[in-house]
Amino acid sequence: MWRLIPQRLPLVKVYVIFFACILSFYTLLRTSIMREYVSEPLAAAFASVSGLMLNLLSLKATVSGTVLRVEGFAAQIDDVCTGIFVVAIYLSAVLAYPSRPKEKLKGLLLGASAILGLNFIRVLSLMYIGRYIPALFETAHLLIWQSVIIFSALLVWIYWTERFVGAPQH
Amino acid sequence: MLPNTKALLTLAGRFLLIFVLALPLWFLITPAYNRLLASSVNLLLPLSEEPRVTTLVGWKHFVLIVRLETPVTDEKRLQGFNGYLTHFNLILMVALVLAPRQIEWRRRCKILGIALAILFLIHVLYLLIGVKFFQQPELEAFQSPAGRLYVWGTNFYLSVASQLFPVLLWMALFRMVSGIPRRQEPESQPPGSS
Repeated sequence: MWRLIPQRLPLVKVYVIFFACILSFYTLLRTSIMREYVSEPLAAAFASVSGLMLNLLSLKATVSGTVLRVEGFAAQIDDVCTGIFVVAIYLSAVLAYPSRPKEKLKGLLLGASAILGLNFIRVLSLMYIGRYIPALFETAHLLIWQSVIIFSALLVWIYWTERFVGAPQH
Repeated sequence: MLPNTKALLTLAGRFLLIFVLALPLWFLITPAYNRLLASSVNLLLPLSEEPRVTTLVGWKHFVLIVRLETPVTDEKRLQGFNGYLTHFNLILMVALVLAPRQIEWRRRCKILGIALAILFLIHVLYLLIGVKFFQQPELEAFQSPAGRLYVWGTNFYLSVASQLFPVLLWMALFRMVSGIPRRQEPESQPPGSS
């Protein structure tokens, strides 16, 4: 068993970097500075763009800060709802995986845009569910969409490793 | 379309199908699972509490915390929360294990068994650690270092770890039980495919 340790060192290194990145990003995102300058503006942007889209989709919506209102239903978009934590998990996986900086950058752009884009669809769908099937809102919000978003992050990460990574250790 | 993209889309489709099918089943099982969790935590609570002041009760879709040291008239005596907040990652785990094709059912069942057992232990541990501080106002919990750590841990579990555990378990167990799948060599692809 001990003989296997040197062979598995690269793998151990990947896991250590991954967990260190996750803990660092999470702690960083929970600081008041990051909340003020990143999480809240992102949540407000999500609310504004979602409100605009909902109006285009003929569901009359109003936005006040991070609160999104449609007729008979309102929801506050907080930092967890922006998908920023899933982006942090994805970014940790990209940083930990053996690859060149340019590949990592491509991975970050691809993953962050995919996750945030899907999260935008999530917000829109949740507003529709809240408006028309409120009994299903909690299930869709906490169970279905959270799992779908993390799974999509996994898919994008696998896609990135297959399509973009050409490092020798890959 | 790249072959890997097609495989990933198939995986995504199968994942969503299994997820949708497993969801109602999970709702049916939740009350029994809540009772199992509560009983397991009650068995372990004497290890962390002396004298014993807390009891957990699984009731329908809720897990109730009974604080025996609190007066009967106090609203903190009996508090409850939706059990799925603790264990909604079970469904993600099941869908992840069942979604990939070309894996023997025996291996699949082995992976699923190990994964569910590990998640069960994580749920028990989460409740065991959290029972003391659960649903106390954050300001009250912040009075002690243990409370601060707990609030941090709860938020980390709910917003990051609860969804990440199944994915990491899935990757680790597939690697351990099934081995690393070999990449398809370019030469073996049929002519004309890209």
